[in-house]
Amino acid sequence: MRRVFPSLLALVLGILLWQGVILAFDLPPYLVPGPWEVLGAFWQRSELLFGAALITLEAALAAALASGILGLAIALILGSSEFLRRAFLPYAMVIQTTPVIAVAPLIVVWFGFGFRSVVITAIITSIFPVIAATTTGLSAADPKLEDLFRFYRASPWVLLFKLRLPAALPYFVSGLRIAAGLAVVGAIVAEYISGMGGNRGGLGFVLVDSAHRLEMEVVFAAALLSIAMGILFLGTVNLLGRWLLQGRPGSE
Amino acid sequence: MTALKLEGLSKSYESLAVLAPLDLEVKEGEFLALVGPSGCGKSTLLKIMAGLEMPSSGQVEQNLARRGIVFQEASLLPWRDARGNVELPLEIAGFSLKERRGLANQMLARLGLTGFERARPHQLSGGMAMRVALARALVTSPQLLLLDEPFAALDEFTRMRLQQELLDIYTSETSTVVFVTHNLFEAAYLSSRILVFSGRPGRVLSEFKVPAPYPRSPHWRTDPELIQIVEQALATLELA
Repeated sequence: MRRVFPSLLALVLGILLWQGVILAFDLPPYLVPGPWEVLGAFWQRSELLFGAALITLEAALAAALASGILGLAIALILGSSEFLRRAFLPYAMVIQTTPVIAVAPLIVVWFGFGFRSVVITAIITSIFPVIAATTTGLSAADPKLEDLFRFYRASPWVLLFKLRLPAALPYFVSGLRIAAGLAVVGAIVAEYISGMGGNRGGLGFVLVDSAHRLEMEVVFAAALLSIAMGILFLGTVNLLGRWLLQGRPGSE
Repeated sequence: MTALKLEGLSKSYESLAVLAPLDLEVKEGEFLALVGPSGCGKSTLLKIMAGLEMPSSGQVEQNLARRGIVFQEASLLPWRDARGNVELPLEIAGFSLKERRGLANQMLARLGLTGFERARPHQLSGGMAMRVALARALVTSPQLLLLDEPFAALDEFTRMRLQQELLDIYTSETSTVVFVTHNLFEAAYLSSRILVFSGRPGRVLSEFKVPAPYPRSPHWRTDPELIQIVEQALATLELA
């Protein structure tokens, strides 16, 4: 309680400041809605908001899982050969620095509007931290330990499963931590562009649509939901990481 | 019988000569110490004996199948407990879980680590971690034990205790030991033969037989005969 008290106090002060600014400058709700109006939107538009959040959650979850599994697989391939690493890792970096918003329309053209495009865009956004971190981790084992395995004539498979993969695990977890946040961002950005399949729009769609209608309290509520989702993802990966890395130094 | 035979062996990294050409025969059952200043190539020599590095020239003939190694640091897998680390060589060799559990527990007990089987490396002191590393090297009942300055990073008292335990193990198991150190007292206390190396590129300056029989008592540590050997060795290094 004592540890969370300062941040709780800051939250209350922030909400008061928010309301205060609105009263002081007499801001209309179609520009800046107050805290009560946002809270009200959660209630009145709950079906829209939580329905959208569920769609985004599904897409982001699928993307985060795919990034974890595919990213690990690609890192294993790249980690198996210096040649492949030198050949492809620089381009992986280039693609990582390409903004999602530039790629998303192309994905929509190729894969159509809706869930599939959203997931693919979110994977593209989130997979590279997993690849980069895990590839680094696969060659991060203590050289003395590699010597030890060589001394006992361990096969490449034994070396991989008993040394290189366990040594890469903390790197994989930190890659996944970044990927989880990016999967949510990627899904929402993709929904801006491709998320209006029928009535089923995710949070990104709700954000754009409500802004057009000047329903700012819904925009605020949707933004808060996407923040909550990011925190949920991060927390889940942290729990997963703690479980995977239990008993290691720095994990207690 | 010869445990290890090196012929015309030398090592250089590009233009840097680390080891001058060397002939060396390690007899089965002997405790050989390689001593010299840092950078004299003694660790490199040990790595060549271990098959972890290739010599630039010359040959290594090795007649012993089961080998164990200890490095300067304990070098334990941080995600495995003490027992899991000791099991590793047996695991690589394909022993069943039950067999390696039993052997690892036995070896941990032998090195006074009963009760620490489930401890993780970061929970162990430097001395205890080194005991685990020794247990790991010994668990396969090696015929050849290669030790690369294993006690260099330990405090004086821990070092003395571990030296004593190494002597006990050597005496009861009579395997062949090659021990790299920069400490002449340690070399004279433990080994039956000392090779003193010069600075880079390392070549053998002198060789000493250590006549004291095994088992050796702690009195040998301060025996005048031992001091004399150390003094003569220091003289060949031009340090006495």
